[in-house]
Amino acid sequence: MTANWKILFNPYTRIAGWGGAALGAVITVAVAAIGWLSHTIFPGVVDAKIPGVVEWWSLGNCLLAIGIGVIVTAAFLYLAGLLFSRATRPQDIFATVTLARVPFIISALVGFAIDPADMDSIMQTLNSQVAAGEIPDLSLTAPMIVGSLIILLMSIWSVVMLYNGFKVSTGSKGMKTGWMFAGAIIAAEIVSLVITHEII
Amino acid sequence: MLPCQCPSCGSQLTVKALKCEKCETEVTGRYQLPVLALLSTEDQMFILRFVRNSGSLKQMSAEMKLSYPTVRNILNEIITKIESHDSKLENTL
Repeated sequence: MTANWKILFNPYTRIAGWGGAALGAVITVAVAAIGWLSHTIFPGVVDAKIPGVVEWWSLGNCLLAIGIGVIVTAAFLYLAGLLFSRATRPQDIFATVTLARVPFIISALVGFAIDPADMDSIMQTLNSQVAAGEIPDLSLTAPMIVGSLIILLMSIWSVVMLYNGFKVSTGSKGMKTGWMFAGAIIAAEIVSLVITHEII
Repeated sequence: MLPCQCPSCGSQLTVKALKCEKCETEVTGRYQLPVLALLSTEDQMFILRFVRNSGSLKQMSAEMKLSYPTVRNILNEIITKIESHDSKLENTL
């Protein structure tokens, strides 16, 4: 039973290489597709957003956003990995990043429970209550808060998977691993969001 | 299994006597255990498996049902242990 739980956070001891990368690519596309249907987007490294009622992205843009995040994250983690070991394989890093998208399937499904139109209407109601000097009825935001907590937990799960995958793919240990990983992730987040903003 | 560490104080054991089962000849002295014998049973089994697979980590990963980087990391850890034993031996000499 313990081994099964460990697989959820570190499948990379069993799955890696091109096989893992292919499986991860399928999962990434599935996350983008489910997200497109549920109005959830996944730009950046571990971001998951449910935008309000704006002109909704096409499926192509949803795929592009998640693809940019995956490629940029993989690139930075690969460069960081090379500093530990020249034997770091790009296919292992790519498998790490794409398989770490598994928790986002749940985030994408959460999007079905949150209607962007409802979100905008709730925020308008709260704003008008505050403007009128009334105490805002925060119970209206309960679905949003619960959804946000679930999405946050899934993002944390994804980061744990990324870290474990980075350790296995590079064979790195110790404090230096954490610092290199954090630096790569922060850089990837900034670069991927800038690129996504410029292109989409 | 051949013990390598003292059960009382944890120090490394050395070989004091070897005996011939056929003619009862006994050889006593003070001999260091070979490096391979100093490794854990799991590490020794891994090395045997490595040799049997002609050094192919890819075949080993399929056999052990582990990913290639995991098998490579195990090998790297064993290499580090062997190098550590080697440096201890050099310091002793």
